[in-house]
Amino acid sequence: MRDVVAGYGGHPILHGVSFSVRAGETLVVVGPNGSGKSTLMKTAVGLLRPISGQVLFGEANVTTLGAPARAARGLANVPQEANIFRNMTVLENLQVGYEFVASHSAPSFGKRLDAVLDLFPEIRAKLRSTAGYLSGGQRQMVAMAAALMPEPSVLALDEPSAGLSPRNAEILFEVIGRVAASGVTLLIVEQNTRLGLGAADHGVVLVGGRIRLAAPAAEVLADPDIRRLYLGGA
Amino acid sequence: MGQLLVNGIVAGLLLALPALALSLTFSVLRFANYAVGSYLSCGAYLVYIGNVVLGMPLWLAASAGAALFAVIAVGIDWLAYRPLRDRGGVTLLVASMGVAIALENVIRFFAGNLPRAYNVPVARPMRFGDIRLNHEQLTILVAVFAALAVVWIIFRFTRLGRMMRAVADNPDLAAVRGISRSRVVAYVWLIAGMLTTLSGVLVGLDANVEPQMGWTYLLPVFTAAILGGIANPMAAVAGALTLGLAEELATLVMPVHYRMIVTFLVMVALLLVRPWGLFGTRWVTK
Amino acid sequence: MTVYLIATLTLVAIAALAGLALNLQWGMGGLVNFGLFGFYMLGAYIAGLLTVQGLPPLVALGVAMLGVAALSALSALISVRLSEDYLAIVTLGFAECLRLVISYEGWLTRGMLGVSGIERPLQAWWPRGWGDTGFLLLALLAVLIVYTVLQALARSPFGRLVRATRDDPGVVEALGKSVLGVRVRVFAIGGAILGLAGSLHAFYYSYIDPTQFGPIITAYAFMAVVVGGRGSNRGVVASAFTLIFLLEGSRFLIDLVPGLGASELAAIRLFLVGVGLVALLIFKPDGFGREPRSALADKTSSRF
Ligand SMILES: Nc1ncnc2c1ncn2[C@@H]1O[C@H](COP(=O)(O)OP(=O)(O)OP(=O)(O)O)[C@@H](O)[C@H]1O
Ligand SMILES: [Mg+2]
Repeated sequence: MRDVVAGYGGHPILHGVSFSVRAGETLVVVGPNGSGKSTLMKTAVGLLRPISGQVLFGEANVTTLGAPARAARGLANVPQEANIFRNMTVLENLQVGYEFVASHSAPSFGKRLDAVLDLFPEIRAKLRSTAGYLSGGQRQMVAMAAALMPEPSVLALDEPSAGLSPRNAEILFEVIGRVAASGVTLLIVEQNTRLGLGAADHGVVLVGGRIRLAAPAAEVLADPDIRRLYLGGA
Repeated sequence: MGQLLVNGIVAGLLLALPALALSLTFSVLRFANYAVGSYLSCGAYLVYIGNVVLGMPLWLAASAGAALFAVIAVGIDWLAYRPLRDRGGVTLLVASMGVAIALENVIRFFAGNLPRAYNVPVARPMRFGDIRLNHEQLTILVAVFAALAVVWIIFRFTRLGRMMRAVADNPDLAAVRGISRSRVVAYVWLIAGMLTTLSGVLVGLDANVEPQMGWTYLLPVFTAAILGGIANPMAAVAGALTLGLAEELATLVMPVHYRMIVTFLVMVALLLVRPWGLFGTRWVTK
Repeated sequence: MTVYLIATLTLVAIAALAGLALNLQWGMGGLVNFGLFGFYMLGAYIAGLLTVQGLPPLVALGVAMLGVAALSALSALISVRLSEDYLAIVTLGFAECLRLVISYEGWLTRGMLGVSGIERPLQAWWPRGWGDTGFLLLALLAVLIVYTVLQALARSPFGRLVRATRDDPGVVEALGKSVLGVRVRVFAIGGAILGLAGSLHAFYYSYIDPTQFGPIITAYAFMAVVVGGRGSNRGVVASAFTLIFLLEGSRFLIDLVPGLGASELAAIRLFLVGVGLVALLIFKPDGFGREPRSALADKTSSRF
């Protein structure tokens, strides 16, 4: 992302944000509520057209491409809220995750389903349930699973641990770790700074729509200001 | 009594297809297409041209008319609604009133105000005990059930159906899952155009083909869709049947020409008590 | 020619009143009233029926305004908790039902036969042969009064509250004001103006029947508001006196265009209204007028 200014109704929320994620690495964006993290995510996945600046995907400039076109290039996203289709069954959620993106050379739906259900064994028994009736933790898993269905090369997660119990959050990050290990590039926005940065290669701190600090994750975690601000002084 | 039920079901079935079309477009586009009644009239007149002017059998004229009007519906969307897509439901609603007036007057200009009838063989009504079923009613029954079955199958079991339901459910998420909204919108108008044309033919069979026909169906169609919880297409069908029966049963206590008042009372009662629809769930209407 | 002109101007003045009413409800308040013609019709019938019963026309007019205001408030109450789409369809349903009742309850309304012999107010004031001109002056006076009242209302704190409810009901609610109350009052005031417009219609024609009232009245009002610019009273009056003047005037083209009957000409006119409405929404969304608020906003900002 290069010099991105973005916002709603002509009113900028991000004021010139630049960062990049190297292929196969994990970048975590942290920052206080309302600092523009979700806005940054929406701009990255193509739901929001930036007022100025560029969004690059590999070598290609995708600034003017919409979300469907970016999805077809291998960018998958789990938004912060409303991240499942509530009136559809879990299976249909996974199907929709797969069928509009997966290329012809991709593994078959059945293969991908098995692979993804191995990551989230809990939802295997729920395939026929309406997704809207699942618990918060299960919904988060369905959302992740659906995003992973087409074997994306980049996965963008907005607050994957929001609303989860500490135990579930840990399970989820374990899975995220495995996804990262399989070579997927990850862009994660996370409130849970410690957990998020713990899983990341690099960290970015976003405050008031500007990047305050960008460094390897361990450095960000160790930064005294950040510790004081976001880690409760620990 | 049995006769009343039959009549009520037929009345409900006549409402079912346009109500389905209305709620389908609402679910994807988030605006109530006030022109749905004019779509019905236009479709009926196109089929009239095929059937009476060009002399095709009705089924052929209906198929050709449905295909043609489906394309017209997409065209109207391109010209009138698409440029207004980001301006909110109310603006689109007012625009659809403009579309409705324009379409209705195209009809009046070319066809005049006189009622017309399709060219179909006249046949004696059938009797089952003391229940009478005429051929038009039978046609309505079969045609509507067939159309509903097709739409239901598309909805439940096909890629296209999942596409439409996904956009209706959560447009942003559908976009990041690779679904192009404009394609879905085009499909939705195609389907809505066909459904309204078919219902126009059936209404024309049941009564007459006249410029007013869509207008008289407007309020009941909206009420049926609201009964189903406006954004829930299949429930709109249930809403239509309920309303058809209610209207027919009300003739026991009210003069027939006050059907519309029954419809209105049903709508008002519903809006006061269960605004998210008889069959809808709360989250659907949000 | 002058006869045509006076007739057209009178109709335009009445349409301007309907436009002003809608401009308050929809333009300022964001409340879509698709059943506008029903309220207008109700006003016409109350005024007409009471006048032929022997009530002085001006008293009948007052009752019509109050009656329509009350029913408007009621219909707003049904649906104001819901989104605007519902209000649109409820008002439409209300209007349709009203038309049915008026058509069929002949003992009360004389049904399809219509009400005839409706006397105009203040007829005795004008010299013989000047009755139509006098009535036109009266209608223009009504437009002026309503315009002045609405302008004052738009600039008042209540006007600001109305616009705030339109733009962001949540904020108004958070400030502890009742959105419901605002909307009901807006609908009632608009209803009173529609009652006035309908009464003038009844007085002008001196004969009313259900076929005179239909969704076209609603369409004209929307046209006036869209052309004039939502929220701009001046724009609405201006657009009524230009656009609706042209549309109404085109009725008289009949003698000039050979080969077209009255109904074809009417169809063309209404087709243009429909297309024009959509085209304006697309290409000129703010109309040609300006909401009085902007003048006010300029003043407040220059103070600092
Ligand atoms: N759709 C929208 N329209 C207008 N403003 C919005 C919209 N979404 C967010 N905002 C505003 O943008 C700013 C940043 O919001 P954003 O959601 O990006 O923050 P965030 O960092 O993700 O916060 P959180 O930690 O709560 O998720 C906020 O001030 C918010 O009010
Ligand atoms: Mg956020």
